[in-house]
Amino acid sequence: MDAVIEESAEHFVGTNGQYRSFLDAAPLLMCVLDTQLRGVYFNQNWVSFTGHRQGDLLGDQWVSDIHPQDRDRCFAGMRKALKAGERFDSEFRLRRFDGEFCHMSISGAPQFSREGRLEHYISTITDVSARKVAEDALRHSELHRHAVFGSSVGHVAVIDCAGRIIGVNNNWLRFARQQSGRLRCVGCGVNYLEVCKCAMNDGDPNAEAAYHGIIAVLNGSVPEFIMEYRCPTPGEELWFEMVVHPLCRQEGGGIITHLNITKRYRAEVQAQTLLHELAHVSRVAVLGELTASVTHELSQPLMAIQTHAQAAKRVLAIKGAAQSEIEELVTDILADNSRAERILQQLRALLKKGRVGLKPLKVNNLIRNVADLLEDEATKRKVKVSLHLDPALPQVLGERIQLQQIVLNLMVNAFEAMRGVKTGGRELAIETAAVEGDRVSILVRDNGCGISSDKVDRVFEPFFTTKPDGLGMGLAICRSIVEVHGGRISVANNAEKGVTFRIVLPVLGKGNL
Amino acid sequence: MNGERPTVFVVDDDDSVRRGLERLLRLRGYRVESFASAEEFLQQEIKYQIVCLVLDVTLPGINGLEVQNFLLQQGILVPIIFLTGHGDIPTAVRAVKSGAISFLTKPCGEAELVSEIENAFAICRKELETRCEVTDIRHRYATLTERESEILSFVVSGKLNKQTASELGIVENTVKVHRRRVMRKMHAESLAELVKMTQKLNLYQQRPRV
Repeated sequence: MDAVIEESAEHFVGTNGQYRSFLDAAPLLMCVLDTQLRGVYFNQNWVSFTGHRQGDLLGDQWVSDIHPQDRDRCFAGMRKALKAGERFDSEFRLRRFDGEFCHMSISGAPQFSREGRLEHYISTITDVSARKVAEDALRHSELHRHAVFGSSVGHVAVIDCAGRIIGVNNNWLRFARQQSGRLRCVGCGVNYLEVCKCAMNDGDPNAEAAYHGIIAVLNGSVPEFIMEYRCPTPGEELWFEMVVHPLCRQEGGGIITHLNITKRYRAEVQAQTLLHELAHVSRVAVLGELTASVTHELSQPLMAIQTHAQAAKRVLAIKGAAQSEIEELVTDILADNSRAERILQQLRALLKKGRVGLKPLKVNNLIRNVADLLEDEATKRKVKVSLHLDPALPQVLGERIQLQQIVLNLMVNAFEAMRGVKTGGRELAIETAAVEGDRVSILVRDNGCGISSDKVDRVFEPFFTTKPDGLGMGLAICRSIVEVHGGRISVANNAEKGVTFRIVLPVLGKGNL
Repeated sequence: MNGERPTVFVVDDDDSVRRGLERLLRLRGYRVESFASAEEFLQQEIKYQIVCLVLDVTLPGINGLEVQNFLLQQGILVPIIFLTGHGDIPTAVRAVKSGAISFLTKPCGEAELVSEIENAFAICRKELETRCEVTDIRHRYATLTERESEILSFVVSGKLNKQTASELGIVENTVKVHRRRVMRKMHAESLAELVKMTQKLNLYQQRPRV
């Protein structure tokens, strides 16, 4: 050991006996460094922490316990402070007696002589391992949060229990910047509920739904709120999905995410358009197969009109013919004419391609219409059709043609299935009922050949068919239509003979739109 | 020759069509009886001679073609005019092959329908005429003695008097006398006429020729 150090240590201990006992009594690791940052004295705590003897720490020896990676950084800071005669604070890892490095914070206070000359530094070292671990964990979770928050493709805002925005991600900011007016400034500090309220007052129905949804999540009455909405941005029409989740902390709050679902939405629209076209093609094909019956249906009123008119002509030729007789004939003509018109309207509706859109519908009526159209086909095939329609059936929201198509397909399928049943025994029953509180069920039951149990699960698959010349699209289209209407379709073999198709649709105003 | 008022049976399940046809055909002076189903019609006994059936092909229960078959099987002769909303060729061919007068597609004009109805009546009248004639012949035939009808069978099968005489073991002159008497009783002016009459009576077809 350097003789100078030894001397200076001797000197320090000798001259500062009181000082020394004070250092040893402190519940910290303490040391005295000279102006070269060489160790002059190390207190008892230090000695026992490192497991070295006092003599093995003096001078530059104490440095060997500092983690090699921390030495340069730590000493650079201390030398800088030393030059300026200021106190220094630094952190390093110090090797414990068991070889483990512990995070330490060092803080050195300069000591000056009476003449104002810097004599030495009294340094205190605290074990900050625990704090360091906590800090690391925090930094880690912060990093994690940032990564999740920042990389979310959605526009995310965190609100407190009053609706005030307390954090937003970059996407949120970017989107807000692209907006005009009020929306431009929707960032931290703004009350999101107030924003919704303003938009509500401007008559935006989405804002109203969002407002109530957020409040419901904040007060815990719903676990989450999801809403799809159209957003008319200056450039293009965008579709978003808004999701609100509660923030899991004592003070409450929520997380609002707006996700751009325009692509998904467009794909859905496109799929629906395709379904629509396919449905049209299949409808026209089914009607094509029914041409004979349909023309028959139309020819009846025309035939009647013809005979009424010819009779009228004959009556008119009779001198002194009764006015009342002519009147009766003309009334009959008009009645048959409107009958023909009705049939034409139904036909035209089924053959039409354009979308009619969702409307409140009376299911019973549309079943009756299809049954009327198929009356002749049923007669020809010697099928007895019976309708058991619940008169108190609530309305559903749907596209008339599409729902009629389902009934049409199921009826024609049933006719086919009963081909092998002997005449007199072919029965087709359609039943409607209100079920499950807010649903409407339609049952179509035949007593035909049934579906073998290995195929019953597959009948709704596209291109699955049991008919030799079938395309296998009829039931697949039925299922798609029912699903678009928020309903379900299923089929099961009857206990005795034939099958029953069951369609369940949501009642108007519940679960749709 | 027959003063009976012609009758049209109308079978159609469509109320308005049925009512219209009934009214129009009545105005044309026909007697009309209409039925909503084949079953109803078939329960009816046809008491008239000059009749025709205007029959819809598609009927609930027994359909038009089945009515036609049933009548054929029962040997009931009613000329049928089919009406159909959709004239598919196979059905029309089947109907006409089974003896239908015609197969009209709805809506059909009055003139067309009435002309077919008149055709049907003409057939009925002709049939009736034939039937009257046959009854007459049958009456005349009944007046023949056993020997005379025996001689008749030889004559119409083309046997010469001489052959007949030798087969029956009588003299030729006796054959001649019988033959003259047969001709007179049957009101036949020639041998050819006599042959025709026996054909109408369907006399010698079931039995093997002598």
